[in-house]
Amino acid sequence: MERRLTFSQKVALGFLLVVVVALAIAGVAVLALRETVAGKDEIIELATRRLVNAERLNAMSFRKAAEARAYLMTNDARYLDAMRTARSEMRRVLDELRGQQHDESLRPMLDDVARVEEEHGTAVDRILADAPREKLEVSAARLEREVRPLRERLNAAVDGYIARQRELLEARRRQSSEAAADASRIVVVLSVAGVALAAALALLLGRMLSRQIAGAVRHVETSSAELKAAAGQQATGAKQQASAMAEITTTINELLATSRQISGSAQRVASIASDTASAARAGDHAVQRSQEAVGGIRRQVELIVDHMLDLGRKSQHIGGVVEIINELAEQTNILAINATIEAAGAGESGKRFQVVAEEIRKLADRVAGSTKDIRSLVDEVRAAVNTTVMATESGSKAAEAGARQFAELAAAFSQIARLVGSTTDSAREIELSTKQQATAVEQVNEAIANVAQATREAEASSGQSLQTASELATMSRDLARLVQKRDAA
Amino acid sequence: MLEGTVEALRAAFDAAFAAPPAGARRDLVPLLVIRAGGEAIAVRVLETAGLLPARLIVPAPSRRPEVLGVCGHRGAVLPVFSLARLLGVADGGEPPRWMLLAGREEERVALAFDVLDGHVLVAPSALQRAAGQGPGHLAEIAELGGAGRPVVSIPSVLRAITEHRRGE
Amino acid sequence: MEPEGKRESVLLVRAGGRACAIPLSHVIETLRPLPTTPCAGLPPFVLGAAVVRGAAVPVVELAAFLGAAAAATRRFVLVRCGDRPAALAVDAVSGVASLAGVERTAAPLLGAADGGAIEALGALDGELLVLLRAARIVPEDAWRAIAGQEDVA
Repeated sequence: MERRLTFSQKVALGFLLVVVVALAIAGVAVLALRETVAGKDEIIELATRRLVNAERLNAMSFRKAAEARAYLMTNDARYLDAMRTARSEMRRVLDELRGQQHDESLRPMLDDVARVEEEHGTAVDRILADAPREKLEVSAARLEREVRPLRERLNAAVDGYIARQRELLEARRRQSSEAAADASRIVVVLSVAGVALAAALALLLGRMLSRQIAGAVRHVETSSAELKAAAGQQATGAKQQASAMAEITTTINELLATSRQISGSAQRVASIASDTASAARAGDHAVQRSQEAVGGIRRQVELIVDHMLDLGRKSQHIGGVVEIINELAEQTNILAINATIEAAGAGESGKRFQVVAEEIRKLADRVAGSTKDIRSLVDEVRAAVNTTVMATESGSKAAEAGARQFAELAAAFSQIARLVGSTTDSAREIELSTKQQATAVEQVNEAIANVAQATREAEASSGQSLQTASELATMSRDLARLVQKRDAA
Repeated sequence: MLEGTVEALRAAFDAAFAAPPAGARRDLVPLLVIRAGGEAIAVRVLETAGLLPARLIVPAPSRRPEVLGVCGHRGAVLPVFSLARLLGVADGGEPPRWMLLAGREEERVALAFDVLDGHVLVAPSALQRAAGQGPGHLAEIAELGGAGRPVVSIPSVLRAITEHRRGE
Repeated sequence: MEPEGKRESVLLVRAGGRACAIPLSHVIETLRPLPTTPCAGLPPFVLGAAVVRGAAVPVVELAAFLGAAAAATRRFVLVRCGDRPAALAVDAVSGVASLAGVERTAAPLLGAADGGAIEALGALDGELLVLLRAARIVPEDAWRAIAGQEDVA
């Protein structure tokens, strides 16, 4: 048995061998059977035909006799025909027998029988021929005397033939039986040989099978273990992947929700931004109007301030004038006193002058007094003017500050409007990108769902693989057990 | 401008006491430098009877356009003439601020003018007789500060007033 | 004006919170303070010399002379000390008055006012009035010092 052959081939070969042996046995058996059957058939044939024919001979002879008798008795032609028929029948049979005779020992007997029969027949025919003319008892006695011995010889010949035939048959029978026994012995031997062969083959094959199976079982065991491990890993990996997928899906869903929120927020922001933009524009207009109003106020305030400053300058001017007047009054005072002094020395003519001088001095005093009042008034005026100027200046400054604040406010508004514009753009961009993101996320979600599905399937398949591996392991164990048993045996 | 003025006045006044007494030049002519109706003129002080700030001038009906009205002075009612109109120039729109008293006690009149520029003493050489009778009672030209200022002759003005009165 | 033997025209001044009177006959004129140059060898109540009417005159602080604290000097009173002019630095010149019935009492010593500068003390309007004799105010050595100063100037 070559090892390169597959096991089925080996088994086939072994079976073939067994089959061949069996076939041989069968062939031998069949042959033997055939022979036996043939022998037996022959025998049977002989037995049946020949013996039967031989018996027919006997029967015919008897019939002939009976017919003859009957003719004798009746002189019925019918009995004669019948007898002739029997005789022809007998002769036919004899011929048939002779034709079939294969054994040399039997032929003479048959010839003998035929002679005897001939003789007999002739005798009978004579008798019969004579019968009508003779009396029955004579015919009968003649039959008895002439034919009977012939008939007995015939019968004896037939019997002898039959006995011989029977002997032959018996011999044949014994022969065929022996042949059959031989054949059966051969068959038995062959069978035993075949069985032994089969057993050997079985053993051999079993050993081979067990070796191969053991090897294969080991392979299968290791493979199944590996498969199990791989399946386990796959299952674990699939589980992990599934859980990771679940996490990713959750995250993606959260992301989706967040992005939807962002989109919603962006929409709200965009709407708020557009509202703010319009409010900023409205605010801008309002600011412009108030700026104009403030500008008008500022101009008015500037006018007032200018007037006030003018008033202040003029009051200072007045103060300056008052200073001059005061100075003049003082000078006048001095001059008046000096004049009085002079006049006192001038005597009478100086007296009128003294009066005038006195008047002048009084005037100077009055002027000084007035200038004092004026100065205090001027001071009050200047104080009031200062206060007013400062107030108006502060008011002007406040108005300016207000105007600046308004300008700043307007700038802030413009800034807000620009920012709002950019915010709107950004919000729209955000909206767009979140929409895109949502679409992408949904696509990803789908892909992940597919992956998750695939993972589940992989998980299931790995589970199945695991199961299969377990079954495989079990089967391999069973196989191993089987093999071990055989090995043990 | 005014700030310097006070100091200048003070300094000038005080310096006058420090300086040796100047010999009284008896020939110096006192002039009043005034303005009437925008015309810059001068008047000899000694031709006047006095100088007053213009008090309340009560308008009085008169066929003469130079008459502004009457005013009270030391218990007397004096007629007030517009010096500018007497000189033949248009009045300033403002009411006059000063009045010169002129004429004898019985025929005292008040001549109203707008601005009193100052009181100066000039040497007689600074006064020049105008060639011929100048228009509007201007007999002389006074050289003041490098510029010539016509000097109104008060007697001439008084004569014009009196003649006109006589003509009524 | 009633001719009165005792009636006298005086210049009323204020110096050092006191009312003083100077006989008008001794007064030349009044003026505002002029720049005063202090010089050496002068009594403390003599502030220095000033140029008045082209001449150097001694300036006497009347308040210090009377032994009182001086307020701000607002006037000079040019007086005749004999035939030489002197300036009295006073706080104020009140005016010209005609004094009658001023009780002259004995003049106690007031500050540096020895030498008979104070002629009398009187009362005016319920206030002490110091009647001064101008000629005696400036001491002799001050005149010499002023004269020296004048030479230098």
